[in-house]
Amino acid sequence: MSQKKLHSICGGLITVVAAFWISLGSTSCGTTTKVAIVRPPEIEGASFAGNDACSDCHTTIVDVFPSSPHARFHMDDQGSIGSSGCESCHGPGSLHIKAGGGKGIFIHNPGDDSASCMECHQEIHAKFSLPNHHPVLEDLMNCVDCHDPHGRDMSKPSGGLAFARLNQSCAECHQEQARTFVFEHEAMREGCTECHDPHGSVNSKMLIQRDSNLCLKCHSQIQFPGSGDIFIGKAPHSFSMQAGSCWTAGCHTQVHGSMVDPKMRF
Amino acid sequence: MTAITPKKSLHYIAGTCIRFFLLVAMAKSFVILLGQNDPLPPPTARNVDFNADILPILRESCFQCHGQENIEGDYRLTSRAEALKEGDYGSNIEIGNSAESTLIQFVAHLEEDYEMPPIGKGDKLTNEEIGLLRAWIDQGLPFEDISEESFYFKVAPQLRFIAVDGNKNAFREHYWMRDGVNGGIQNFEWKQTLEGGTSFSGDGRITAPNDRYNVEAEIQKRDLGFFRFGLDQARTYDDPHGGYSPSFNLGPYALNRDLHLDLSNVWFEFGLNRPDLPSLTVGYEYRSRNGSKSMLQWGPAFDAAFNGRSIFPAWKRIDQETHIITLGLEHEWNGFRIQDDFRGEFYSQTHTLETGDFISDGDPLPGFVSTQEDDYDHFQGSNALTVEKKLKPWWLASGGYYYSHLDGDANLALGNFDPSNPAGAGMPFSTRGIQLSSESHIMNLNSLLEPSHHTTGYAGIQTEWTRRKGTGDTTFFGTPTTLGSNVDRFQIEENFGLRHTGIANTILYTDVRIQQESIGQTENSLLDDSFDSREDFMRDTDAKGRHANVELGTTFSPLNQWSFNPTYGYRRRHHDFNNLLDTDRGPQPGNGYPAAILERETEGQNWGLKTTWKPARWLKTSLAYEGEQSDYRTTIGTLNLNGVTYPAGSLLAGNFDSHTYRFTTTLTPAVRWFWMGSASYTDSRIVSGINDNDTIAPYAGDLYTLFSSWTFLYDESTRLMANYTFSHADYGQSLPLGLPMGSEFSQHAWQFEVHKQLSERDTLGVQYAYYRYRDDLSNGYLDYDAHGIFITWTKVFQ
Repeated sequence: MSQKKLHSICGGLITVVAAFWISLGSTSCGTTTKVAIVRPPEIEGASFAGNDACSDCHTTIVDVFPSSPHARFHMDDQGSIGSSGCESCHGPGSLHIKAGGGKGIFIHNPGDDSASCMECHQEIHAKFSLPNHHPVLEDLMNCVDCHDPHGRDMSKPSGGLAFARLNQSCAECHQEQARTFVFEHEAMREGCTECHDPHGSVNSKMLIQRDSNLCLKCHSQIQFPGSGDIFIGKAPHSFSMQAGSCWTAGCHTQVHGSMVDPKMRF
Repeated sequence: MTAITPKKSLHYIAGTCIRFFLLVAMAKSFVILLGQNDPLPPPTARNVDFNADILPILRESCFQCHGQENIEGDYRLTSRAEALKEGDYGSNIEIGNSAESTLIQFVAHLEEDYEMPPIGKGDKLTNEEIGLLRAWIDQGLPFEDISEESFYFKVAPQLRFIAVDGNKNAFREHYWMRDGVNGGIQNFEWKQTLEGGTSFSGDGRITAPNDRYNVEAEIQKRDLGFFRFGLDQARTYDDPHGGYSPSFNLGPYALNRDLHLDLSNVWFEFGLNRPDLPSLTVGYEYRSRNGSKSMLQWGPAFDAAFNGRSIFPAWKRIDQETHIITLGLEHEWNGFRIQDDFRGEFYSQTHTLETGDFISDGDPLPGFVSTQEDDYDHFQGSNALTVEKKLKPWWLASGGYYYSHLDGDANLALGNFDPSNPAGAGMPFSTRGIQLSSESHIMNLNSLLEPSHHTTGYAGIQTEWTRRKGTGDTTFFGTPTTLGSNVDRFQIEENFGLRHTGIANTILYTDVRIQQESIGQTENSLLDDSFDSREDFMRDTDAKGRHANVELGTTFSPLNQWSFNPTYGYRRRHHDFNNLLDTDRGPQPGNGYPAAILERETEGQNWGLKTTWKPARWLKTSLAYEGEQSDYRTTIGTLNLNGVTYPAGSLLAGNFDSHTYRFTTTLTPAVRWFWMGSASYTDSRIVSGINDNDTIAPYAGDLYTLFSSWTFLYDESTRLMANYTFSHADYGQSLPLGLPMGSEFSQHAWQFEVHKQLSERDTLGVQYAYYRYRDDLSNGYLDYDAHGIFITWTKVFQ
């Protein structure tokens, strides 16, 4: 495995370096635009005002913005107004300010329309297009249902992703799976995303893998001396692993936890 | 000719100088005199007209802070009465005496730190504008109250028809909508403002049958509060098929059921936001989930050679209800922002799972159907208190305390019935009175520091203590059994981050999270000795964990049109287990499965580079690569397997790696054209085994995705759009003797749309869509072709 891994890493690096130099060689000299980071939403007739102007009213949000992952792309003093910061997602704010503010008044709210999130997070757009996905592109959910884009959750222990309780965002809707059990599946302590890709997957129920490899990477196997039978713990599993995966075979079906069985069978 | 003597010359020079200084002194005195008497531009001499002369100035320079919505300094300029009220700085207008009115002194920038509009928030008023305002005040402040009334309503009725050739359930599951004729209001928006600062707003959509109902509305009264309410219903669909095995010479077994789940949500909240008082919000929410869904725990079927494969589909009836009460308080006091949020949740569910068992090749019905009825309810109360203060201009500190308590109970009953005789159901297993409780205390302290304009640092620490208990009695095939578990978990998490923008066109950042945890866990499931003692189980395990997660990267733009974003991440989770007790009174007593594991570790890295090139306003393109790799290691102790000793040691139990390449281009070659395309390729592989020996086939394959969007403005009123989405997976994993468990499909969606602006307030949209899906591992069972027509008319009333 290690040699394959080395090959794939080297291959990836070579591809990236080659792509970098090829694209560098095609640089146009006749360009005048500023830093190329984000293409903000358009608001007809509005111009960019900068984060400081937003701070006059949205002080608590702008105050903590530097701790947000989005601040990693914000060059506040380098001519990148509009390409990063508040207006890169909400659109140019001059008309919104002139109108005295107000929800949705000359301003774009990604909480209502995730299009501006997808402008940068194209890998997530691709996942939402797979057969098994949360319905964000269908407008039945939006990104802020699960994510806090401003970083406020650093001071909110009750919810969110930045510095908060594990699985809290998922448990908001999936109470059946996140509830308390007598016998919990310890994988839940490491988070729902150990087994699920919440944006979308090629596999049913948005699983990151569809077969027993999903379980066996943690529930390590051993080979019985002599016969070569696969044992997981003290129980032979060679035959049952042919019937399907650990859960589709109808054995360990209570994958999130069980009220009665420590082996999660019912 | 008169001779100029030195004496005359001296007199002449001295006289000239004296005259010059006198002139200069007189001029300077005149200027000072003028300035002292009239430091303001003079009032305009003519009579001013409020609408023509004054209102444009107020709209351009004042209303953004002293208008209908925002009231800085407790002062508003929306009516004569409001303008004459005192604000935070006293009276602003003295009728007939503009020179002494503080409003005029502020707009003329005569008061330092009180310039209006504030410096940086608007241009200083011109002398002519100040003169008009002076005349307005001197002439008695003639005012025509500005009407607050406004009305806006937009509605978009839609008619939709979708025809599916093939598996309708798969189409519904993939696109979250039902085929056939559907219609309703695709979207509506309503905004209305009345005199006195009352406003209404609402939006939503209502499409039927069985699709989406969503309405949200708000009534707001300025300086008083708000009332909001909403209702939402959506439906999810599941295809009711099971697994597929080529040895059965059939497509997958499928239940003849329309599996769908209705998700409903009704809520309201009202709040008080009186100035200078704590804002208060009280809310109630009711959620329900009702219907059925497919499961991935299939029942066994047997082919002619009596090879067992679990492929018969299972489904679950869902009935869930949740009542949520919320109470929120927020207040600013001496620079502290204090927020407290309480939430009480009453949750109940009744689920029934049905799985077909023992079906033989070709039989229409399984030999029997296993049932599992799962009743559960809980009350969970939680409260989060957060305090935040800007201690220094460069230091924001915050802290929080969260408490949560849960009490729940559950019952479980397992049974089975003959599908040809459902009345003859058996009940081999039932539990009574399972009691559950969970309690958590969480505290955190955080600081956000900006020691220089270019550097931001943040650090936080969070502790969490959770105790979870579960007890119950059950009857397992008639045998009494006791159940119990107790888990104490204590975690400390430290969080550090740094962001630096001091290098030209460059952002450097890093984020580090470290966590330590300590777990004490006991579990038991004890049967009577007279029964199958292999099921008996007792466990007492102490565990200690260490987790680390490091991310670092940079964004830099060495050239105007380029940006680069390399990233690197490292994570490691390590647990040591001390198994004090692990009994299993079966044929291989002691050292049961949990006790066999002494250490478990996951170590991984991810890395990436995104290059963005924006050479002109009409072209932006990016190329990205992301790689990820993880190793899963387990250390086991000595195991006794049927009298044979398996040696202790460390195993590489699994390895995962993936590589993703993505290319995206946005192109606007002309004012009327817009094109965006994004293509990605992912190669991923998960292997589990014993060190380098793969024991089952790796789950490995390729995933291709493509998204392309094209827009053309044919003329000022006509817009043409086209979208294409494609994904293809090639995870053809298959065990030589087992069930094919891969994922091989191709999915296409084309959409063509015409938008025509019929009038200033009417727009017609017509869309045609074609969907195609092919699944190679279902023997064609999941395949479909679908055609859709969407007609939407948007009407605006204003």
